Amino acid sequence: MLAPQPSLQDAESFSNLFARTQIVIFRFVYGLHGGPLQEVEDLTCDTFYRAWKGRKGFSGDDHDALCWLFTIARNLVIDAHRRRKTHSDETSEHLDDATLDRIFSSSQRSPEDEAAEREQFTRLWKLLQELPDDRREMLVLRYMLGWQVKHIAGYLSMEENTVSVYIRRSLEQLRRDWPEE
Amino acid sequence: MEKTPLTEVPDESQIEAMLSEIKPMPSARLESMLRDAPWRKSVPAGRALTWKPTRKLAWGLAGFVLILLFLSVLLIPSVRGIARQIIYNYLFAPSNQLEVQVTLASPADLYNFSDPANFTLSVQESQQEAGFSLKQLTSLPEGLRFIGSRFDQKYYSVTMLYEGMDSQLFLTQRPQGNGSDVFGIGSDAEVKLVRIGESQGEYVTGGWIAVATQPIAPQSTPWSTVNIQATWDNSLPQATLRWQAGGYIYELRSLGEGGLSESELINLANGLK
Repeated sequence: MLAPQPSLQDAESFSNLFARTQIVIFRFVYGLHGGPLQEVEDLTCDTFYRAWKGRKGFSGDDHDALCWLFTIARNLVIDAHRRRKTHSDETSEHLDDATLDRIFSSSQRSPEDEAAEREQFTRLWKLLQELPDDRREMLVLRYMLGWQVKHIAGYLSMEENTVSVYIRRSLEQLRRDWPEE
Repeated sequence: MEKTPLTEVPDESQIEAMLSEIKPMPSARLESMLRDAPWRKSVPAGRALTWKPTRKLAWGLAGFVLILLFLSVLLIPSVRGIARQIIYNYLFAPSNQLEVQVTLASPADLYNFSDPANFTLSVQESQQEAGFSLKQLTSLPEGLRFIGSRFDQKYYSVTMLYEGMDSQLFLTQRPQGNGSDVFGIGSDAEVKLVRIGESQGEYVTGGWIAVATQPIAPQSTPWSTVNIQATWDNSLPQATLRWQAGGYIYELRSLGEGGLSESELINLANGLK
């Protein structure tokens, strides 16, 4: 059972929340928005500033606080996507080089194989961004943040089976849509 | 660990594995954007170091505290025990068993602390984030190369990682007074006092090994905490040297079978600039 935490009114409580959640929120935003890194960082920053401004309206425990931050982040990402569509900028979503470098940091592949696999990750990222927002969010929570299905179901107020089915179908869709060489 | 080669059109399990590998990290830019955030303004990290009392008041206070401390150590056994712990930078645990609590929100960040992927900053970037001047190794032992550094907001510390074929070397530095100034060690650990320049340092071998993790309850959420039991092992191939100088705490930790000896660590500590 989670004990209710003190409110986030004071700077110290909020600072603690920030320290505990900034990487989680950053990765959540990254997965939903798709990149580039600079925009993801701007949105992460905006999420915490917006939460700070709205903290008086929040009450709940640590888990509620995380869900609250997710909601703020998701809304900001939706706004950003609207702006992106308005400006017809559809090509800016991509995995940054540092993230790809980390994936291959311990790899002992030949340069040719590594280049091919980097291309696979780039394709996957593009396909992920083409999924409907709710499906993409489930995959981000499940794989990029490592949440269990039951936690995702709790967070989205859905049945566990339903979440499992959606995740399975999304994976199938990614495989089906994978471009043939 | 070598990955299974990806086929041209990966199957679902390969897609799952690929998604799990995507762990982006923010750049130093995000930290600089949030450095002056309003929730950080009331708890400035260097506050303890910037207070400058007048010389007369400082000497008076210091004298009073010293006399009080001397009398307490002399007359009260429990204070003598505490004084011993303060003199020793390391804090002995009551036993060789330890239980720590972690959250489930991002367990990989905890377990993979020593993962080179977590050391993405250059020394200059870390210095910019930490806001204090960083010391660096002036000579690098053969076989070790600099991987990167990281800034830990919680302790206001910067850790640099150097890696060789079968060992890692961590250099951590932070201002005194941020977070806990002690490093818990097992009750059986042997601390050796050594000289680092003008300061006294402490050298210990061994470390904590996680032996059991509490089962995760069905109703737990990513924000729930779990307990991890650890046991102290003197034979773990890990050597740690800690010392304090000029208001900062330094730590050199060598990890791995091919790690550095006591004298090598002391030489590196003496050469920090």
